[in-house]
This record gives sequence, C-alpha cells and structure tokens, in this order.
Amino acid sequence: MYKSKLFHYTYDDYDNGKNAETMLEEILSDPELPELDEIVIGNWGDAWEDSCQKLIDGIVENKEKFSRIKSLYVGDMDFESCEVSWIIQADYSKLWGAMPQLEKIVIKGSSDLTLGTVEHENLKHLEIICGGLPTDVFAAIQNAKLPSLQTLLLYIGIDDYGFDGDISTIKDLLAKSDFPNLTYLGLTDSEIQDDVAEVVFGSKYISQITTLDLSMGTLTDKGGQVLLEKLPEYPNIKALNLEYHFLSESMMEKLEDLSGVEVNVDDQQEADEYDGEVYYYPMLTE
Amino acid sequence: MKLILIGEENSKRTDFFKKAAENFHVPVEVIGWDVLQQEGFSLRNLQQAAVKIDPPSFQTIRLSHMQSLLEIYKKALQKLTQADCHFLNSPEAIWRLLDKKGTKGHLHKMHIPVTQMFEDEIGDSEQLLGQMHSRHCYSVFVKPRYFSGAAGVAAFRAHPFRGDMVLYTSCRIENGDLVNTKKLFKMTNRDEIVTFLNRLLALDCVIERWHPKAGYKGKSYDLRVVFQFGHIAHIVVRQSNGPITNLHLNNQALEVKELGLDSRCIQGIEEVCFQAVSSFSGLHMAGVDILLEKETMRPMVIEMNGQGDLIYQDIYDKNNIYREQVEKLCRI
Repeated sequence: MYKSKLFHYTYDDYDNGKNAETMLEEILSDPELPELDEIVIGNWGDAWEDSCQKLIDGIVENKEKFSRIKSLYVGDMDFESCEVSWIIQADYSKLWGAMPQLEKIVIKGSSDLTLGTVEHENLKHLEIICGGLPTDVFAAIQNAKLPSLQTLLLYIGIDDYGFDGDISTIKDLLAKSDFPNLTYLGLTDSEIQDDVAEVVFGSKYISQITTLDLSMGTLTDKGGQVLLEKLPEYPNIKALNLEYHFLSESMMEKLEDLSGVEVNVDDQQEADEYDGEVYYYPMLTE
Repeated sequence: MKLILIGEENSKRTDFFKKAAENFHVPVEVIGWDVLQQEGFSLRNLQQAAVKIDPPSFQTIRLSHMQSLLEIYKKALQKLTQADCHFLNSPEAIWRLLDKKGTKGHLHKMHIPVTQMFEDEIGDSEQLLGQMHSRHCYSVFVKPRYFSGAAGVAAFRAHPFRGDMVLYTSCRIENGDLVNTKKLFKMTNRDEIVTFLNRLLALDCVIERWHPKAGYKGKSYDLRVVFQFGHIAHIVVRQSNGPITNLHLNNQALEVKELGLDSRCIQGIEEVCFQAVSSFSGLHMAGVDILLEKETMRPMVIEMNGQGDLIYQDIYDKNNIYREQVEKLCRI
C-alpha cells in the first residue's frame, strides 16, 4: 500500500490565484514529501486554462526529492471540477528518465499530452483516462520499452475528443508493442468496442493476460458473441471486465455462465433513439 | 381539531399522509386542488383546521405550459392566505420558496451559506457569456426561477478562450417548445447550445455558479434533507453520473450512512438547515437541497422547497416524516 497524498485546488483557491506553479512550491515544501510513495495531483487551479507542464518540469528538476515516489497520478479530477477533454496535459518526455523508481502512472486528459520516448525498466502500470486518445500517444506506447509493464489501461474515446485513429491503430498497438510481462490489458471506452474485442483475440497478448478489460464502451451482442466463442480457448484469462455495455440480457447471462472466468457485466446501457436514429455512447465522451 | 390535506386524491403524498393519520386514529379530510379552485369553494371549510398544502400535479412536460400552471397555482395560494386556519407551511412561505431568486437572495442576506448566484438579470446567451467572463466563472447552472426539481435545469460550461461549450440538461426543444424529459442529455454543438440557452433564458431564470459537488464511488452527489420542527427528519443522498441530481431523474438514492460522513459534517448540515428553515416565517418543514463542496465538504444550500417532503425511502419504510407532521398538526 502506497503512502499517498492528494494535492488539489478548489475553485476558491483558483480565484485566489493558485496555479501549477504554486502547487509545485507546496509539494516541494511539504514536510511529508520525503515519506510519500504516491503523489496524486488533482486540479492545479486552472487545468482548463494552463497545462501541468510546470509541475512535470518541477518534478524532473527536483528529481532527488521525488526519488521515493513509486506512483504518480496527474489530473485526478472529475467532471464536477473540469471536463476531461478540457484538462491541458503536458510533455512527459523527461519524466521517464527522472523517475526510474516509478511503478505506476495514471494520466487524466489527453489535450496537449506528449509521452515522448518511453523507456522505463520498472514501470508496471500505465493508465491514460481521456475522452479520446490521439494516435501519436498510441504510437508512443506502441514503441515504448517497458519490460516490466503488467497493466496497460487505455481509454480509447471518440473522434470528437481526440481519438483520430481507427481499428488499425489498435491492431498496430497490439502487434508492434512488446510488453512481455503484460497481464492486464484494458482497451476501453470505445465507440468501436465490438471491433476492439475481435482484434484483441488476434493479438499475441491474448494467451498471456489474466485480465481483459473491454469496459465502458459500446460493446453489443456482436462483440459479446466474439467473447463467447473465443474466450474458452484462453483459460489464462481469469477476469473479464465489461462494465458499462449494450449487451442483451441473454448475452449477459451466457457470458456470466462461462466457466473459469469472473465476468463483470454491471451497468447495462440502453441505446438512445432520436429522430429515428439509434445512438450508442461510450461512458466517457467529453 | 380538524385535519385537512389540500392536494391530489389518489397520489402517493395523499395515500401515505392518510396512512400516517390512521396511526393516530385521526380522520383526514382531503380537498383536491380542483375543488379548491371552484368558484363555489368557501374558505370557511378550512376554519380553525390544521392544514397541510401539498402541490398540485402539473400534468405537462412543456415548460411554457408549466409556467402558466404556476400562475394558476400562485393565485390559489394567494386565495389560501385569506383562510382562518393553522397551516403546516403557510401559502406565503410555500410561494416564497418556489422563487429560487428570492430564496437565495434572502439566505445570502442572512449569511447562510448558499451556492453563489449571479445577481444581474440575464436574458440571453450573449449576456450570460459576458457575465461568466467578467466573473471568471466558466461553469454555471441555469434554472427557471419558479420550477421545482430538475425541470428546465441546465448545467453549462464555456471554455474561457477555446470557445468550447458543454451543456447538460433533461430538456429538449420539440416543435419549438422546451419539453422536460426524465433523461439527461449532453450538448456540445455551439449553435445548438446557444439556441437552447436563448430559449431557456427567455423564461425567467436564475444563474448559479456550478460548485463541484462531493463524490462517492465515482459519482457526484448532493443531499435532500427533509428538515421539520427543528430537526432533520430524513436525508437522501442523490447520486448521479451527470451534474444534475434530482429524485425525479431516476438517479440512484442512497442512505446517508453509506457515505460515512463524520459527525462534524452532519452537524454542519443540520446547522445550515436549521438556520435556513427558521429564517422564513410560516415555515415548519422544508426539503433543503444541500451541496457538500468537493474536498472541503462545506455544506451550502442549493435550493429549498416548502413541499419537498415526499421521500420514497421513508414512506415505504416507517413513514416517519408524515407521522410526525400529523402528530404535530393534531397538537395545534
């Protein structure tokens, strides 16, 4: 269990002039910093106006003060504080070298997000939460050298909010990346979730992972049927997360009846009908 | 003393109020709003009685129609002010609380914590955006001044310099009219949002700052506190995936103990409710919507409703809210 601390500004703090720069000063001068294992950065005051680059640069410049930090979450704020698509992220290129001890990183927001060349011996968990993940970020992950990576959880999102790829982007990621220790594969929050389900079963990771996470997307019975037919071939998969989906009741039952795998089919959704059109929305689309 | 309920026959409110009265072997005379509004109805029927006023059922989803029904309701409440009887909540107090602008202004003046309201009159989207910029407040709620619940409420955000807009509402424009639904919609198209806002703001609206609400298990929530006779009678936690939480929007309702709020926080909520309710004369009970500010957990009044006491978790359980009302009304 990490010893963790949240750094977060309220709207009143923002009104009183707090920003990423002042937050960095507060983190650096926090007497608890030397004992912390995890830092969670919430709203830095004006997350929709200014990026968190000063915070990332500050960590890099003061890397010795963060040498104990094993887990970093940048952008922990919900829609009450800021739309996820409005969070202005940063360039993380220099962070990988500055924090060799890092085991887990969670980044929320994909606007202005740059990962750079990702080479890290110890990172076990990489998670990006957003309404749309751009192809350049996919490419950075695809080319990353992360020999220890166990968990990869990506919110694919929709084109209106930054996902400028298609199913071939996912196919390439799975084919060209090299994560020999990956056990948790999460390709979530997609409006092409059925296709994602299909593609995952053609990838090299399917025989090594223990958890498959296809949650929060527009998974329908089409994707459900793929899972139903192919999952029994991979007894290595012990958990299947489909929470927030558009599966029918009967498909949910069939999937839950699969043996040897824990299936989460919570939060069933209904498609929207408007002017004779049917719409399916992933969970996070802003 | 005679106990009278003004409301709608065959409604949950009436059925469960009658059940509460049965517990005390007290007969309740129900006077329907249709009867009350008949010309021949005499206020002498209420003389010296203990009277509770429940709301009429507005059988419409069109906001413009709702507004004209409110006018009729206002007149009926005005008529009731002439009655010589003992009200649970006086008709004046009920109407005062239906006016969000008046209520918030009063609470603010009394130094009771409330969600911030824009004082200026705002009649269209251009004026609204201007006000948001000048106040550096880019997230607001737009609410029709007199409706209760989620009817016509919109949560609106405008990015300060990129121009992106997001609007969440349970309303839709259908055949040129604003229509209330039970589903939350999200709009991101600027033209669509501007059209919607102009239509909404043409109704008399109040603008409030969108304060980030506390969250529980990934969902934000606020509280409906039924406060009566000087104490909290019930708290319902209204959870939502979106910014608009309301009992009628099919949101998940939780018991407050599940939140694990500390006693200081609960005490703060009680204190704010006590101050708010006792600041209005003629008010013995109110549904007080409380926002707990994210991170600080400071309680603030979002709005109040002098008829906001229908809590399903209570009526289907011990029916304590209505039982206490009957008990107190009988003692008058």
